[in-house]
Amino acid sequence: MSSTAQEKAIDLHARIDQADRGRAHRLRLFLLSFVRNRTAIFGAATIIVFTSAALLAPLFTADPLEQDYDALMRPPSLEYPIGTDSLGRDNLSRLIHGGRVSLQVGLFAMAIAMTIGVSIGLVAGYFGKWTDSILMRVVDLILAFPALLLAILMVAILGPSLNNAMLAIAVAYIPVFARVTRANTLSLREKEFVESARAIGGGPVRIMFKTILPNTVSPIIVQASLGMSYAILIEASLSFLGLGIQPPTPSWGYMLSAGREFITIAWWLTTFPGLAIFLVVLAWNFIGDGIREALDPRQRRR
Amino acid sequence: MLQTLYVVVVLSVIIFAAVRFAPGDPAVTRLGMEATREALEQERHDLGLNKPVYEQYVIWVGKVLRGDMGVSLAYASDHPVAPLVWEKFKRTIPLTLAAMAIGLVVSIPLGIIAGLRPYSILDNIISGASLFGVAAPSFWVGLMLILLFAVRLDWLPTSGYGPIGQGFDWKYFILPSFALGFQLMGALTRYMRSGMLDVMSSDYIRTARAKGLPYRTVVARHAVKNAMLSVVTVIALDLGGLLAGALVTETVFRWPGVGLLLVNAIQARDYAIVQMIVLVTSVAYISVNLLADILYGYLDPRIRLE
Repeated sequence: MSSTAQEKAIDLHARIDQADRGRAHRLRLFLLSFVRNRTAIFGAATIIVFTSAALLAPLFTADPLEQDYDALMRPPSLEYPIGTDSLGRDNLSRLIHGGRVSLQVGLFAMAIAMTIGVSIGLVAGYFGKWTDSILMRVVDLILAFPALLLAILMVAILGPSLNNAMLAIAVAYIPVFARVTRANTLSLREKEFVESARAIGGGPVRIMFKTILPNTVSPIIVQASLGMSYAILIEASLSFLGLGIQPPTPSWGYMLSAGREFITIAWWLTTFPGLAIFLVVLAWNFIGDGIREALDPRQRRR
Repeated sequence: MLQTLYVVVVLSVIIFAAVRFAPGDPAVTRLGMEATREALEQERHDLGLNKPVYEQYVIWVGKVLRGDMGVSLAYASDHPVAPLVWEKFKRTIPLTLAAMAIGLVVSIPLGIIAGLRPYSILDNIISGASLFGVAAPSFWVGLMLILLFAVRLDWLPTSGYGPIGQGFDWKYFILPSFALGFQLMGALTRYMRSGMLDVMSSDYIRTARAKGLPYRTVVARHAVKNAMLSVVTVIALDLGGLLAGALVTETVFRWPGVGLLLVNAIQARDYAIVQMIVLVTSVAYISVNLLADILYGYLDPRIRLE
């Protein structure tokens, strides 16, 4: 009867192939839908430009801290495309280097918030009952604060710094990931494939992270990309208040607050950093919406 | 209700603990680095800092309930915090309310127009503009308003509460409230639009049209009221954002309200002030959300509080 075993094995392989093809097909559909979405492509292009400029900044920009006392407060010109500040520093270079801070804060804050939030959501949704109640009460507590106020409070206590700002933003965003993951886990844990994973002896940790998590990735990615815009906005607000990254490191929020002092004589100091924040925030929003629509065509244009 | 009470209690513990265990010795802050050991010990005793922590918490809660929020450590020496912060709140609250009014007056009609003619040119313009409102940080909008109306056109003053030494002047109120209101416009317009979209395609609107009611009546009497539902929740949620936004907007316009006070207090490590502002703002936020839940149940009897 070895032939039937072999047949079974071949059959199994065929099925796995089919499943893989199904996955590839879905990925292609997703990419197609995303690429056809003009705003999503605009968002992705903007982020690629800003990200590569930020990553490659040391290669092609002047030192953002270098002061040129012969060129204080210069308006935009060929030499200085968006002018210089009160210490004669090249604004374009500072803007690009400021992008590094925004990118860094966004990525780290989202990574922390996602790791903690998703774990909370999985555990709460999978175990249910009192575990769920306790974890969700903690999450509700974070939601009881307006996010920016929570971040300000945390930074006020921990002291103003880049790391603390990142941590504060991450904490404020944990509930979003926890809630999304929990909601999905609650419905997924009743599904047959989860039961079958349990039937072949999968432990809770394995089921949560290997069986349930891969099936709830898409809404998490959507939230992460919307969260990037949110993290960048809050970081800019904190730095504007002097509670984020400390000078002389250039950041968009700090550039705005420094430019505020000279608003009557130097319009370029406040215009361009804000424009950068606006574009990047808009772009992350577009990407998030684009992913959401590509994943679920029913939600289109609401 | 119980849920709200629980949140307020835990909130108070966190705010108390956060400030109590913050780095820095309040006694040193008060007396300065040169103070003698005995003087510091005496000060700690007077401040009640050497009692057990839970006892300190109970004492603190008792005081808070009686309206005693402690004394400012650095801002103005031995100044009771409560009246000081209240004075500043009296300047921030009108700003927030005006911003909310501006946001509503602008975004509700825009949302209705956009929602009635989805994907028309008008809708595309309104939806595009609302995206600007969502993504542009309000403090930057404030700076741009200053550049345009104060610096270039010279119609309004750049910042402050009124002419120096002459108290309040309305001219100084306009730009900050618009900058803050702008923060609301984008989100509210989008919610109103999608609310209208949902409502206009529902059966009862078709019924109302079918029985011969004029379009105008259907929109004004039936559609708008129901589309407002989703906006009510968003307003409540946004009020928290608005309060937090006020903190930043006040810094932009040098508006002497809670925001400016909070930023100064944080920099001076004046925790009594930070404590009170955070407590008051959070409790206000929680109450408004509770109120929105109740109002929501009233507007739509299908949804009731458990």
